[in-house]
Amino acid sequence: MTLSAILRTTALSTAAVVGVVALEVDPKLKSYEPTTGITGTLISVGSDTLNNLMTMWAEEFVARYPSVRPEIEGKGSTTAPPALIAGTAQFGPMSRAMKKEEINAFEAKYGYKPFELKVAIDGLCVFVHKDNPITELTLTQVDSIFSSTYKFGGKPATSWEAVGVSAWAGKPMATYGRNSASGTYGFFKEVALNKGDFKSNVKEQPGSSAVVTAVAGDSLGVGYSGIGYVTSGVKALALAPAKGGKAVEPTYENCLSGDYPLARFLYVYINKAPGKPLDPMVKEFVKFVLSKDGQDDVRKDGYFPLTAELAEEQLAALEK
Amino acid sequence: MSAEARYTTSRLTLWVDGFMTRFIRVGGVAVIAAVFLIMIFIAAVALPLFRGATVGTPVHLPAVAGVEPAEAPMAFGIDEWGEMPFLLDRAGRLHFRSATAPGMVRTVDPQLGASVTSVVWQSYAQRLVIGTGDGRLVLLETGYAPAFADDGSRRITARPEQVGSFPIGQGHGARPIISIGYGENDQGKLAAALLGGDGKAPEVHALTFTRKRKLGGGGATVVDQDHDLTALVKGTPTKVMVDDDAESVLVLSKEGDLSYIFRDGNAFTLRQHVRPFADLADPTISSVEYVLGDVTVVLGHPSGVTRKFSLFSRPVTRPDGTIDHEPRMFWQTGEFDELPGPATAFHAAASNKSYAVASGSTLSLRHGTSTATRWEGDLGFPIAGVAIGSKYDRLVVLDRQAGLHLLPLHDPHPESGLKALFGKVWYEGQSEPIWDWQSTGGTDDFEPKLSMVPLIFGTLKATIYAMLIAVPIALLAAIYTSEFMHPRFKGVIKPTMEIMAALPSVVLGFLAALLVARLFDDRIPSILCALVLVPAVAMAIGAWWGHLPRNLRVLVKPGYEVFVMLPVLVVTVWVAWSIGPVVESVLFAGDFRAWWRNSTGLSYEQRNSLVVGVMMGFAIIPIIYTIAEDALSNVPKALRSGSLALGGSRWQTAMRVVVPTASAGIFSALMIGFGRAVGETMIVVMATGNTAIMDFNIFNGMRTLSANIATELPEAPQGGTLYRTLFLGAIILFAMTFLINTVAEVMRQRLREKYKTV
Repeated sequence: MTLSAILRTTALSTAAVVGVVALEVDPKLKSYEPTTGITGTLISVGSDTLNNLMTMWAEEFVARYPSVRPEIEGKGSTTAPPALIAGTAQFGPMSRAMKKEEINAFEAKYGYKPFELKVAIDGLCVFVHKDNPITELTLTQVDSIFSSTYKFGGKPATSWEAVGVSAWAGKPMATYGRNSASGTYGFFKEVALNKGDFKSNVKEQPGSSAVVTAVAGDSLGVGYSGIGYVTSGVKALALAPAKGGKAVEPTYENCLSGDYPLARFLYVYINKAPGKPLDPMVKEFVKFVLSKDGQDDVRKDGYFPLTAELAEEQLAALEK
Repeated sequence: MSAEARYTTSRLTLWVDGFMTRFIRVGGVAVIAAVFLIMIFIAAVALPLFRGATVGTPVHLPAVAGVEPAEAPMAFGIDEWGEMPFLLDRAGRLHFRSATAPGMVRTVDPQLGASVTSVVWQSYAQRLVIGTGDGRLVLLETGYAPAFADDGSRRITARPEQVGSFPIGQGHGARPIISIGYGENDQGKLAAALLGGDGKAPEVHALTFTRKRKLGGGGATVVDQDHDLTALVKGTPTKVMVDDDAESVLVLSKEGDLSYIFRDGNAFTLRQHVRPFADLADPTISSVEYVLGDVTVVLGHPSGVTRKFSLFSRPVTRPDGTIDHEPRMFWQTGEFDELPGPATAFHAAASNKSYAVASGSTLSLRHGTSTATRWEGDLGFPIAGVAIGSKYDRLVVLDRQAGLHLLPLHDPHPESGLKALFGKVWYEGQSEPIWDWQSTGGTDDFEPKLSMVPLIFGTLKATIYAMLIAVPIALLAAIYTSEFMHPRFKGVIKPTMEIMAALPSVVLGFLAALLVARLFDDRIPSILCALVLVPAVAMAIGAWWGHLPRNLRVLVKPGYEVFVMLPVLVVTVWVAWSIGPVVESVLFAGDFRAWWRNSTGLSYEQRNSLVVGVMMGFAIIPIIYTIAEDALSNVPKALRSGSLALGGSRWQTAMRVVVPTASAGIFSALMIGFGRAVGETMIVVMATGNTAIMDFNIFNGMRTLSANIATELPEAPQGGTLYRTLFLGAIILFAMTFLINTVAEVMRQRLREKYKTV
């Protein structure tokens, strides 16, 4: 099932809980109850978008289990599958779903597919320098700015007046994006560019915070990253779907309802052999992440927490 | 101790001497060998990129009772693990075979309730799209799934499930569907059917769906509307196709036309009529199929000519000279090798842009992007159908007797090859063939763009801009300190320069990205003024100094002139800095970035070659300076004295005697600086946008080979195409420095030979 489909259905069922009171963790989520005897090295390799979050989770996890040693590395989602396959990491955080090719490579080694956990919700933001007068864009305009294929049917846009900022006539745009290892790059390419290709002059930055910093320091800049990285130096834009419709802000409700076009899940992949119990440390970490405490960190880091229903669903799948 | 003994060398000394000679010799040879081994290792990793596909010995599953040729299978396919191929017969029954037990067959009847008249096997979704004799679209999922036993062993099971059945175009009674197409994505679903039979004119219908929201559960899909598209189609329709994004219907006609019907919600418009073989005597089309991603179609002609057409937005020049972009339409983007005859079977891979095509008994595997033929062979029997396993590791061939042949396929790098790596390639969605580097995407139907050309170009661009800035400064500084400056300052300046060389390049890169790039961006006219004014003022001072009266000049000791010049230069820099904004408002209409873009048509980026040139120049100046200065200082004192004694001025002595004599050393300095710039990584990674562009504009960036390796190696799965391509980049880098160093060494030897006499 696709993200927007799941989100739509869960949004309706939990609308009474989360729809009104934004950015409160779903009270139905269970608190985490620590057990004993958890030890080992917790290694995570993958997404840069999830890097801060993984670090926060690991820190709080270590606070509960002092003999756990965490090692968190976040260079981009594409680094997660090779690390999981090689067995050098137990957790592979990714900001996009694994590709078939990556799943195939994993399956070729282990005989089963990697286990996918949805750990948070993100509204991928398109943002500009804070002094830019623009407030909203359509996905077609986003495609015109970033792509060389214009798959939404727009016309190339290289200056700010081309997307309706008449006050900035003649001013060129400076586009910033992520490096290709990033899941944000892949997701943006898939959804905002409709699987098209980036223009070759989109400057690749090695991390989400680098994109935000670059746009904050370039008055003509425009870039994208997960909502957790947005700072006061930049302005996140409201986005409208390509096929027409109202521009909506990247808020929790809009992401849950599927109205915000760049809403997505953030994932953590683990190596779980079917029918076999998980390593206790891995299992406890997953339980922690999907608990009220873990989801509260999601909120603190600027992303959107899961609903209780989604968390329960995943814990149940883990038991299979 | 006798006198003789005192003068003979001790045995120990001789032994140590002999040992060290050999030891050093072995060490030297070992270093050379190590370098070669590294090169061989890198080359060995990169080499498989240039190999074609290999196909192994087939396993034959002969036809068995129950699947007779009489009820010729309508479709067949295989699970992703390659263990359980299936055949679908006209009655709508599925026959599952076992790849390991040729005699075994399990037949499942999903109770379609009518005969199968058309079918499409969508291997990426493990879905059969079936058109029935009573005018219904049936979606049948094969339901392959692995089951794990307690000992960890795996068994593949299949539970076919009918997930939908929708009547199409039954306004005037049910008619058999002779061709069917179906596509679905997040936003919607679309089906198209060609209704035939009973001697009536064929009709093309499309079915749109909506997904209804339901409380607490998944939304059910319901049919929205039935559309009659017959009037939009040119010629007599023979086949319909729907793309995976559910946004268009493609209709093929008997006369050889392709009608591209675009869907926007519930509105269908004919966007394009195209006759792909209009230039041939017989324009009919014998086959048309999508390759993965459904942006490209491969069209076959009865003669065996095969072409690819892709969707792209074509730029058109308006009468007033402006460039506009047409809506996306199908245009020819390439031609494949000719087949011996019309294509009889076709299947596109589900994990890359490859496809398998058969004509008679010839089976051919081609790649849709590079148009290269990856493998071709004669199987010795007429081929009725072909399928590629969804992991791209197996080919399944159907013969006329309903027997199956499973062929193991080994083609780890289908998107590679000489043309893809170095040639211009016409990628999907582009309006012309280009060199491009975009190695990774987030989806399976992503088309990797792995051209080395923009990276080589970027490497040279960065190097040249760095050299343009570093060479004049470093060489002139070396000549000045060794020939004109008072020797006591040399003792301070040279070590200072050498400390500069010790600065880690990541620090320089960091400074470049966070400080220099923004400073340059804010004050670019000031920087340009300074670049012009400082050398101009320096030369003016030089000229003016020579014309000063002698009694004024003697006030400054020789070698101390710099202290007259420095304050003036500092003032010049300050002036340039202050007049920058004025110059910007007078010459560049108040905004240099907009002015540059509007008057040159070139882009302006904050992270540009000027920043890289300055920072990388900063990194290589000390290297060039130190070596060049050494070379100059090593020129024998006697030569200088001779020249001066014969009446040559200091300038004449320096330029005509010292510099030519030291030219071999200076040349080495330049080449070592060049080599450092070619391989420099961190400054480029951090200070540019790593944009793989192919223009020499100083105000945009570049992507160099080394920066590319640094940023992409962590994400490249070991042994994958990207991994090997990065190693190929390393080999190219190695070859570039090797070439430069060889040329440099040859030149140096010749220069040395020339000035040997002095």
